[in-house]
Amino acid sequence: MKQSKWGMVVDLDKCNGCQACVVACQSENNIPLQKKSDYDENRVIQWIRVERYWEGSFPDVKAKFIPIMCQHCDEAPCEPVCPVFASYHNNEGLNVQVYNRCIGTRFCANNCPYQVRFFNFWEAEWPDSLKNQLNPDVTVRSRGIMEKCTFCVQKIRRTKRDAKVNGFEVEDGAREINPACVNSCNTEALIFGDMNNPESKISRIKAKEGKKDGRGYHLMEHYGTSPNVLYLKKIDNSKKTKSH
Amino acid sequence: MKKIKNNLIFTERVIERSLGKVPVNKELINIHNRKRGNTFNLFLYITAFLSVIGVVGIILRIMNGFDDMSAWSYYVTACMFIFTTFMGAPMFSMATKVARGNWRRPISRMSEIFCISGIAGLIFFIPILWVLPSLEDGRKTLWFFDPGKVPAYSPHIWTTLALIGFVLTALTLLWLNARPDFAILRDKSKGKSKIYSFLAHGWVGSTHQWGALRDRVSVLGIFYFMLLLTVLYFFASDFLMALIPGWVDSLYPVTLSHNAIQGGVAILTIAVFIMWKWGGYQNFIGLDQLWGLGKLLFGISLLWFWFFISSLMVLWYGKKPNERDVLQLLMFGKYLPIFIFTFFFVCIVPFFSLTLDSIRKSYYGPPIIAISVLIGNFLDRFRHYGSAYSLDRTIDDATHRFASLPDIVIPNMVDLMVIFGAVSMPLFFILIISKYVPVISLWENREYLLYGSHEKYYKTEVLVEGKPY
Amino acid sequence: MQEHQQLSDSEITEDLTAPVIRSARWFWSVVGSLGFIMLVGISGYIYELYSGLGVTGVQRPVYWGAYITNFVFWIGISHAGIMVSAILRLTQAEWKRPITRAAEVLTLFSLIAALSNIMFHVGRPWRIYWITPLPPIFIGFDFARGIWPNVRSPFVWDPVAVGTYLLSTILFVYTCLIPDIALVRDKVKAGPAKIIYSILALGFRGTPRQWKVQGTAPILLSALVLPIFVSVHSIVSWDFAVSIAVEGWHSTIFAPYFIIGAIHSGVSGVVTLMAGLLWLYKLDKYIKPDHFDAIGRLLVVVATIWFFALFLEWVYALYPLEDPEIALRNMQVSQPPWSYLFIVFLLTGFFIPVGAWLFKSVRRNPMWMFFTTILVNIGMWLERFLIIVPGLSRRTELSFNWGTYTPSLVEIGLVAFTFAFVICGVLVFARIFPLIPPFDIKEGMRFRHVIKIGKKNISAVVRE
Repeated sequence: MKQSKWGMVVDLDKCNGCQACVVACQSENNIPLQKKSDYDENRVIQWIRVERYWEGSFPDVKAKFIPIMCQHCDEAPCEPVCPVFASYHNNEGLNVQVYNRCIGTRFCANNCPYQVRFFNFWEAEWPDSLKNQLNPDVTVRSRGIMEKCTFCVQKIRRTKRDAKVNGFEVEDGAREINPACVNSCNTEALIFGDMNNPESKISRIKAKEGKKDGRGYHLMEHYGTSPNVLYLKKIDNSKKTKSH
Repeated sequence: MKKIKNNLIFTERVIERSLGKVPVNKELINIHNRKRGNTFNLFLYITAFLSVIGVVGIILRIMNGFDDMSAWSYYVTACMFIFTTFMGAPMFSMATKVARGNWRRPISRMSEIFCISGIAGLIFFIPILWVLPSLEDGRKTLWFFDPGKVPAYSPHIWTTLALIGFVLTALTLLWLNARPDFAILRDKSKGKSKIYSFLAHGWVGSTHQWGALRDRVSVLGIFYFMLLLTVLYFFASDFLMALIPGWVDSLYPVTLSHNAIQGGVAILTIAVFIMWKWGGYQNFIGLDQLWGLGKLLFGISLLWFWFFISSLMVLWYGKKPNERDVLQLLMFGKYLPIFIFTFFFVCIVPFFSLTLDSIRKSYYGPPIIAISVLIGNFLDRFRHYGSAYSLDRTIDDATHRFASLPDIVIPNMVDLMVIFGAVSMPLFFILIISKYVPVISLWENREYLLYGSHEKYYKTEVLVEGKPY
Repeated sequence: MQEHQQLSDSEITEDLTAPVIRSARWFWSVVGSLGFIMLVGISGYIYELYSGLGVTGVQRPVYWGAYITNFVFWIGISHAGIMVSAILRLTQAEWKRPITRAAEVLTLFSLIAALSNIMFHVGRPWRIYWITPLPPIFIGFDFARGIWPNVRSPFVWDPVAVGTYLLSTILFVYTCLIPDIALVRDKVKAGPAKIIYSILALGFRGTPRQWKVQGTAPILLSALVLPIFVSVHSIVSWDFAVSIAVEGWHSTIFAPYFIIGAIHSGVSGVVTLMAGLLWLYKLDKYIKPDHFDAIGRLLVVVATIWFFALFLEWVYALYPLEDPEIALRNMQVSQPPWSYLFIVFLLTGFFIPVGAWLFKSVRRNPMWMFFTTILVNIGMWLERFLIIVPGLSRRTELSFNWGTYTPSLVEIGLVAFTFAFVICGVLVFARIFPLIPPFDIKEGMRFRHVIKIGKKNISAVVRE
């Protein structure tokens, strides 16, 4: 069987900016609780964040939402600059962060055009009541370490191991292998899958929308990072009603 | 100490002369005034003939039309070659005057004579103004945000102005520095005195005139340097970088200026060698001069590598698609053989050979290495200008990359005529004016008699040099 | 030099070893106050070690702040040593004599200050040794099972370059120091000090062969250290220039631009140091207005070339007409506080000092040189800050992520620490070893000649 290459599709036509993905990611990956002081200090850690842009002026204002997570670029600019190899590319196409190797130079964060890398400025603290909620499959990071979206690599590993041990094939779109954000999206705006499997949903979407006149595009393509996240443009119906 | 006596040929003879044995000026004037031999006349006729061929080549190239830019690749290369070799040579005189090395004195006039090549450069430059596309052609400009708001031919205008200023400054510098010599020749010779008295323009050698000379030469020298950098900045940006979409290299104007200085030192080395070997100036040009030029060439070639690596590191590391394309065009793609030869001739050969004492501290070593540097310089110019002018500037919308990369243009007959003309025309002008401008500066070498002397120093003899300022 | 004072050997020895033999009156109070500043800074660092990098002003997206600025600044100052010492040695300039050792010592301490800034900057400094290639069978230390550092990262090239530079500076300082340690050894009374100086002097007795070697060694070291001069700051500049994602960083001119800036900043630092030493140690006989005049003229040339490089950087940043870059430069020029910092930077870095240095009376006055060169270094610190921080505020199309930065008290304290450390280091060094090399000055006296031409006396120098 061919090696998997994981990718994601974000359908901006379906995203309504509810941020369920942000919450799900935080619970799944032991992300520290973000306090008000973190927002004031501009040090919020959100492995997936929903950016909201206003378009137009009153009374024709529109909000545009775009969830941005690590794009797991094939030519990731964050990888060559880490002095200790804490950021590297694994053979399933994921850009992986090795927490116990990171010494916190923050060079990778500078080099990321999508600004998806986050630094632990403080030691994370959970109140006793929430300590049982921590996910045992995911490292709890101390201060001084960079972290970012991993496409929930712990779930991918666990599912593949279970499949191998118990002898079943991993289904495309199975909830066990999907990242937490994909599972939590109520409009199915996030789609995750194996791009090396031509039958998977993501491959079919890529084939259809990835063409020149399709809705698919990559963020900041001129950097040449070859991201593995495909965004589908929002279908704008308002143009039909414009008078001029 | 034997070492002093063998290497400092110049100063020893100076001392002999200062003791009244042979006057400096008389010997220099005699060499300058002697009838030119057959070899000199032969070269004069050859360079004249090739210059005419060059002019014919220019006319033929113009007649072929300005539409096909790739046909002009070799033409632009040849013109830029003039500016990055011949016009870099006077920098030696300016820079060493500031650094106050006395070993420059026999050769500073030779470097100033190269100023006359500016005229040849200007002649070759003028047709290029019609080749370069205007700003309305979708081509970027360095200066203003909105190309629609400036005259479409602005780059052409300001480059021409800068170039004319540059050539005028160069010619003025040559004349100013040679003026005391014209006065000496006017006084010492009969028969030719009409020309020399016209050129000397009332020089009497008063204190005021000497002071004014020093001030004007230093100010104009600074202007020469700034104008060289300015002209090469335009040649690097409007005439080169703007034609390769996606190539943003803030270092390249500086690199081009450095390459010009390297070419200038190289061609000066060859000129000094020729004057030493066949010009009859053995008593004045010594090992010190060629050794000093060899050391300069060594350092400058090392710097070539540094400028090259600075550009390459930034363009290569980030793997941006447009930068990868530019590197493909200039280095790793079809122009790879040219790049390899460039790197070999202009960096590897000078650096590794000039580390050896036997090559650097010799009469024949630096000139031979200088030939290698000039070949490499020409190839470097071709690599940049040839590829830029033959590039199809359309960008593929989907991939944001060049639609196609150009092949290496094969030179045809007209191109060869132009290249030979471009190399010969400056030489022709130099040979002509060398009949009137003394190739070794009379007044500067006489000035040194006042500064340098050999003194007894404990049990040995040392050279003592005055430092008036 | 025009004004020349021929001094006797014993006078030179007496004057220049005096600071070593007994402390000046101001010594302990100055060193004490600098030590206090250092203590305040270190306590700030202990707080940072305890709590985490949150105590700094660094935030997303401006992940690099005052520490990296300070790192680049001190690397810049460190180029003083090579410029003054190596290049002036190779061009045989006579006016280098009083200033070579002071410049090299300034380099030594500024390199240590620069490296310390890296330690302040990383998130887990107790693991910073992972940047070095330690062999896998290192007993007793835990580390990552034989994984070597990533040689593609500029942060690995940095310690190699800076470490090489530090090592060569130590060698340079020590080699050129040997005759003077011998001099002090002979002057000091018997005791532990004399024993230490005797060991350090390596048995230098002043025989002709020893002097011959002593003459060749600095020239060789100068030639060998020149590639380091070019490569160290180029490599530090590539920390920024190789980044494609930060506006204002991806420029090929960064390597020469930083080096010229370093020469500008470093030579100005040397002038500040010389003027300070002239005042503190009353060295009027050794440091003359002529020295300041010569350095001033060098600085005008260097500053102008630097300004040209700054101009090129701006022009080519705007040339592609990309929105993020235009937004960044717009912010730089029109939005406070960046616009204020920018104007201050231009005035103090170039216009005021160079304008002043065009006048000979300013160049020859140590006090004016002191103040104008301090202005230059304020400007150059701001220059590094304005290169690093505005670009990191990321004026990209993803305007949701635009950020800003203000240095915190801890960062200010540690920056002050580095300044106090360097000044204190130089002063303590001057207390232990002679800072103006007596043997060099004595050699200069011997090389002095006068040529009479008519009524004019021209000072002359022996050329070897």
